[in-house]
Amino acid sequence: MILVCGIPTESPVARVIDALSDASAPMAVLNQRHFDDIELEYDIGGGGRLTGLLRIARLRWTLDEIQGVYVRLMDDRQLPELAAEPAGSTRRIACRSLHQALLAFCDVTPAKVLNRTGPMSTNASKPYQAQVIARHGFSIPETLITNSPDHVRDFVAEHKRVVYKSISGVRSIVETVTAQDLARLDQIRWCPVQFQAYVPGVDIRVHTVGEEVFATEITSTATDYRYATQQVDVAAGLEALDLDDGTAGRCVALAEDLGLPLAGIDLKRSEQGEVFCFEVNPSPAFSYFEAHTGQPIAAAIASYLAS
Amino acid sequence: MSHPGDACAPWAWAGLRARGLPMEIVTAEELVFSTSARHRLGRASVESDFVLPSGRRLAFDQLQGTLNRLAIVPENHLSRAGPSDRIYAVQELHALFTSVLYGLPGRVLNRAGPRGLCGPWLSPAEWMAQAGRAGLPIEPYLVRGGAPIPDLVLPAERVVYVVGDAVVIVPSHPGEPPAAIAEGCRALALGCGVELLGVDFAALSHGPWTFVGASPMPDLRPGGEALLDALLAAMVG
Repeated sequence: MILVCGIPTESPVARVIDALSDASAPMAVLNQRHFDDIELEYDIGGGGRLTGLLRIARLRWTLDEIQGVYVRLMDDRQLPELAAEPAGSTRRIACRSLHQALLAFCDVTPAKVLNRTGPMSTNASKPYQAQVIARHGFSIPETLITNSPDHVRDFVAEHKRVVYKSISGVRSIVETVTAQDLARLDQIRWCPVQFQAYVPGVDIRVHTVGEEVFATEITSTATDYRYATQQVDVAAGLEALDLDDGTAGRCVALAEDLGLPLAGIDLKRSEQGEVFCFEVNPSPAFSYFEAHTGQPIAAAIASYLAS
Repeated sequence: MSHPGDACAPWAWAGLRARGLPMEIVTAEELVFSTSARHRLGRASVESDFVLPSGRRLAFDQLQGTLNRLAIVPENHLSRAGPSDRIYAVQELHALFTSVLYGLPGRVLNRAGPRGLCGPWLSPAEWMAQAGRAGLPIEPYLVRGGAPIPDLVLPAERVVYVVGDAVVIVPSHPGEPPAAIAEGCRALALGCGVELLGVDFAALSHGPWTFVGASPMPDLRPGGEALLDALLAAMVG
């Protein structure tokens, strides 16, 4: 049985459910919004062996029936069902505890999991990830993280066009450093900021599912194609791309090294043909790319989990 | 690298200096309050250098080894920021420290990673599962969604330190553990990707060497001279 955890109407989750359904794979959907009607109980015994039970509404499974898990949870503390609950209420605590038990289960189960909680945190430090990325033969952009305005001025003078963005798991919009930004550099003394040499070229998003690779070429003049409409008034164009074997192999090896059987890898092919890698997303919203290119990513996820 | 209240840092500093190893203590606060922090990544290398509040420059490429006992990022200086700015800044600082401490040259006990600044901080369930898979005897550990996740609360009666290939038993609890226990501790450290691990045992239903917990940042002081010798060997080896 394949367990799908998340909110079933959310696009990537919905596509995985559809793909598993198309493949006639036995499946259970754990809708985290229905936490009141879910029970999970397990025991870790000798040899680290896991035994236990999952109940969703009237259906029950033993945990050894679960051969694969797709997990894409929103922060359970922000669930709409808890909006009216006071802090520390019994229902809030029970919901939190269920999600903690579920995440711990994902880390200890011998089943295939896309993705386990531990490896998901590799994306919480982009420069850490960059060091791993570089070991896999990808170029990484020249990067400076500093709280010193002088170092930033030197870096901008060296690289001319420079962008800045967050380095943690907090999402940020990539922006080009402007004269106005340079005038407010003193603010970085409170918290170091990441600056990167801008790499001109073509953005490529690669999704890896096990050893399967799906590459999408993105056409946009925006600094951050995810916000192309905001930045340049024109939406980004997306097209399926055949990636060369060498780059595809490095993507698979990188995802495997990070412990991520499912990954969304952000590449850029420079004007000189050099392949840069910016980051690896452990919970990719692949549905956006699948919808635009027709690439069977959800089907690959279903096949990986069911095989 | 340590926190100001960490008594293990001056203990290790004094013990390792007495064994001829040049040592310096740098605190998390000194790093966070650096007047100039610079972390560069590129084609060629990883470079970090910080000018500490005292004016001392810390060039990380000159470090030969590090005993890393940083667990969290200090955030007192952000107390006047709004909640969302403070949360953002702490996450950014944590991300920076993870990268700096991961990229340290030489031998590092323990190197930072995505699950912790001085090695992985696993959930109790993961420690129990990993310990069981490493061949260590464990008590059944029950998790029940809806109820609080049980913690590993039993006080340790025996501690085994894994330092690289060496295994050190707390002197105040003499008695060699069975070879399988020492091997299991090594396997647990290897599985967690750490060079330094404190593994706690208590006498329970599986005998005197029943696993009750582990930490990548154990209290070092009970390890005494034998642990200092092992740390020295690991640092210069």
